[in-house]
Amino acid sequence: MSAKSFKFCALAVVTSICGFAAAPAFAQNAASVIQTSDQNVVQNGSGNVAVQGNVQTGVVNQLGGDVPYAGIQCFVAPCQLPGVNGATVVQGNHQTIDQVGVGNTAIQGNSSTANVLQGLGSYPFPYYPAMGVNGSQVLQGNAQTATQVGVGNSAVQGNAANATVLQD
Amino acid sequence: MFKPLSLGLLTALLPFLPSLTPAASAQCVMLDVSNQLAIHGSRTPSTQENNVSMASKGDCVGGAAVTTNAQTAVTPGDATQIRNSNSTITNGAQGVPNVPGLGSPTIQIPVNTQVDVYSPALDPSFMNGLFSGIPKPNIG
Repeated sequence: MSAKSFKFCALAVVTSICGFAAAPAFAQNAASVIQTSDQNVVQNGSGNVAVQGNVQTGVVNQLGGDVPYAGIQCFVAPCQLPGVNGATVVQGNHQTIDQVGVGNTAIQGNSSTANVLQGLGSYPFPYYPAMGVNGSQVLQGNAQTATQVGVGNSAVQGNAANATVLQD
Repeated sequence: MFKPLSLGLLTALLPFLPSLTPAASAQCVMLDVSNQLAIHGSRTPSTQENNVSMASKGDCVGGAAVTTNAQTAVTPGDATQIRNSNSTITNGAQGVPNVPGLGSPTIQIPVNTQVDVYSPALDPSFMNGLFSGIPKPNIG
């Protein structure tokens, strides 16, 4: 083996190792669900009725474990893992009812559902990242405001948001 | 003779007793129900907050403020659930005739449930110890 070919081979090996060593450590095992809700009711008067409802459901299902793909040599942490990546679900709700007067009625409803399913993707050795296994983000927001001034007003507000992310 | 007569009189008056008692007041009700459920694979406890404020000044008639909240999170990672609820009733007896016993303080009912569960089934590192199946490479 000539010196030139030896250098080339050494460079290829180092590049390969560095490729694994520099594998992006993107959000492994970091799947978070953040849910916030603000509900405000202000009534000035008699006989007013205010009803506010909020339902937030966030489900993240990540298949796979923290076992590096068989056959891949990981020399420097972090090693790339199959089927485990980042998914973030953020759900927000803001509801406000202001009633001034007599006999007003306000009903507000919110339903937010997010399902993120991340399957065990194939591993395109020796490239990164693995196909079909990446980070996903779901953002859902709801804002409802009902202001009633007078007598005998009615307000009904509804909101429903569904998001489904499937990664295989 | 007196006893049977008084008993009969009392029995005859029973149907009218409700009208003789003070009328039920139409109180106002403030109800707040919150359920927060977090099932996570992270070993870090989730953040769950439910900040509820209820305020009612003076008498109140026939009003209601109902707020409900249900937050459910199922994740291999961390879960954060924060909820703020504020309800205020003022002048709740506005325009209502000043009838004794009609207006009364508002009933306030806060209900709060918070469940935070660590699930090993959602913990990839834990599951790896059980079902590795694939031999680990010798790292380091």
